[in-house]
Amino acid sequence: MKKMILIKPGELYLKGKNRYIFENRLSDNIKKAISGMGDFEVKKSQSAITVIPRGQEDTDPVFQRLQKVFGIARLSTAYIFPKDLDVIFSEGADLAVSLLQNEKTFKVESKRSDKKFKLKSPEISKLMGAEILKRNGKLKVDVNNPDRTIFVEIRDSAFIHTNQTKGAGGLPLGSSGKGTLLLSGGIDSPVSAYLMAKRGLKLNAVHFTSPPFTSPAAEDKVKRLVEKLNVFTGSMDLYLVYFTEIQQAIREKCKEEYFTLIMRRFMMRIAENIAFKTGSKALITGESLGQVASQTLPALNSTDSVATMSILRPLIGLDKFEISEISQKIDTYDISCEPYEDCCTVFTPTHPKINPKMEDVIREEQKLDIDELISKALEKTRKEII
Amino acid sequence: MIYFDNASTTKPTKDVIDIMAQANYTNFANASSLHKIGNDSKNLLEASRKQIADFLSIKSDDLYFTSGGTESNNIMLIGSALKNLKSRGNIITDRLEHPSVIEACKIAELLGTEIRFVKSDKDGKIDLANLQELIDEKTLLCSFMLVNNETGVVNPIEQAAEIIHSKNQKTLLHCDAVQGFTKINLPTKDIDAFSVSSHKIHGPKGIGALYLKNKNAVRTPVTGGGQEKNLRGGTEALPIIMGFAKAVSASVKQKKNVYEINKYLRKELTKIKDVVINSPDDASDYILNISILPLPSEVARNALSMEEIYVSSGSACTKGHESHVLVGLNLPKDRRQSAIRLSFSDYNTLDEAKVFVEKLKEIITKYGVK
Repeated sequence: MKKMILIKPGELYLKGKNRYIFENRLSDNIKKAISGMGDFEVKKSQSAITVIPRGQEDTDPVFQRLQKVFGIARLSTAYIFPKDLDVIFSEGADLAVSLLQNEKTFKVESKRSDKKFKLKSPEISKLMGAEILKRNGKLKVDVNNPDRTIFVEIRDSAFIHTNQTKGAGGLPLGSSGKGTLLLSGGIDSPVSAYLMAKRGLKLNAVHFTSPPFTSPAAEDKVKRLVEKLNVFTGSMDLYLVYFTEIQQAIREKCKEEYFTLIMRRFMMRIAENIAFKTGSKALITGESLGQVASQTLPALNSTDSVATMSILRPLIGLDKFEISEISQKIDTYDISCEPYEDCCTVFTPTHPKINPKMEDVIREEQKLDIDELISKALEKTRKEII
Repeated sequence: MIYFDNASTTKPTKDVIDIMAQANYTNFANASSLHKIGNDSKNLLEASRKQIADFLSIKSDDLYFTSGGTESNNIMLIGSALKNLKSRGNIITDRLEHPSVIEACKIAELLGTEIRFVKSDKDGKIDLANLQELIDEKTLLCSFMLVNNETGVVNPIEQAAEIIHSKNQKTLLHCDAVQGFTKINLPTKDIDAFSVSSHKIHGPKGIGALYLKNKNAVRTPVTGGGQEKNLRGGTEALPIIMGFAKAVSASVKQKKNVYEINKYLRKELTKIKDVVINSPDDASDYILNISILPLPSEVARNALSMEEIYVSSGSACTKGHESHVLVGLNLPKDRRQSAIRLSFSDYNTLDEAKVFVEKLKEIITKYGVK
């Protein structure tokens, strides 16, 4: 019996006349996600998208892959039948009975997109129900609270399916534009990437490296994190910013308690510079209010003030435990926990400022040639496509 | 490239690679197969065993191939506990041993064997007076390393043997000789068992040996098809065994260059402000542990690596953790956290040592805390 995957897009129907743009985007993303997994036809059909194997390919691996594609509300494996009443009510009913083998009660729901089809939806449901009961007398119909529902849909062909699986939800990747992620290698920023990709942002990432204070292993770790994220974010451009000289300059010239704050202001400026050049409209960080000294409200204000672009902080209201849970769910947790130092842990002040005054930060920072340092760092920035 | 990380592993020589390539191609037959080419493999296996045994002046029959130092240590320690499950005996070792000994002791403990740790002196050598006190009639085994892998400290194995055997004739002495093997004298006559590894002496990785005078002293945890007289199951890895034998026979006991490198570095490095030598004066020439106080270990390692100079921060076996050896030596925190290990081979040169000193000075100026 030939199988296919029936996909119900998520919030797209909210988008009125722009709906087709989102649908096209989702359909493209689906094609990209399953490319290399076999020969499948991805087709829009009214309020659904169907993925049908052209040959004998197994749909199960594709089904699993599609569970991670944003913009899909629900998906199910459907069985394809010709639009032939005899076949639907014989072979189709046999299939329905096998799908119901562990259940006591059921109902049939039908939908007829092809209005030329001889029977109307209620008639299809009624006849299919009768055929099922004929084959298994122990089953009972319960239209209010059935153990399982059998769906019959008449589209280009007849589809029979049950048990819709929840999709990844959210909006199709890219439908909200592009954002630049500040990616550290810790637990938080990959989770931010996941959450913003879920809201339809296509991402690129900026990582700051400070050799020899950070090791090549720390850089590899970040690349492996991006690889892990790829399943949700698609391929990502990773910008590796050479940060050593900036950190050394801060260490030499500024008061120790301001190290982290000033460093983060440099990071924002550099990330925004890359964001502008690459068409991003927002910066994304993994900050959570009060998690560490540099994430208090005054500290966030101090970093915000150097950027003109929106800074999105999807984790701002989550605690470490909640963030770790998502991190485990998206399978970045173990890599994030590997013990390689990142540039944020280099020169950590013993007593960081948790309530910095803007004018003090600016006064400390002015001891440095900010523009010169940034342009040198950008010059030595490397781009990798992962 | 300057490779000063030879205690982690060494580069195999061309001779070693050639003999392995040839053996992989020609002598692929299983040494336990009873046909002609199997028999050919068997003969080559025994010839390799004899070559290594002769070098060590031991009986070929008492040498068992294993996958390396770790497996040899595991077989010896866990095997000893397995053999004496009901006797509730004790094993004596010390806290500065390689993790493959310390961790195997934890399993021996689970099997009902008591583990006793002999004290170390200020340099990290085993305290012989304390050893004398710890041995009793229930001591099954003492296990001490020949050369410490992080500091190069050489243990007084001969004296330990004398103490052990005069106090309890039945107690065995096992020596983890991985770091000293072919480099310093191994008193094979005085000890009952020792572990060696091929890749520390320019041989291939994945092969080593356990010398064991009385095979019945252990019940091996690595069981299977009866290979190595039931001591280490698993198909004999002939090509790397031949590479191992080649490396042993090629190891000349000339360590003049290493002696000179070590002497030079000790002299020049002490002239640099804030550099301290952690290895005691009488340590093995092959290992020199130093602290560069203005630079955390990993920063010094990374910075040297950027100059294509390769050293270890801590030992490569325990990456990410603070060295239990340096903690055990009671070094202050700033010295522990800025320690790096230089380890040499017969192929290093004095010129390399000179470049090292110059580059280290530059790195301290460039990245050190002022």
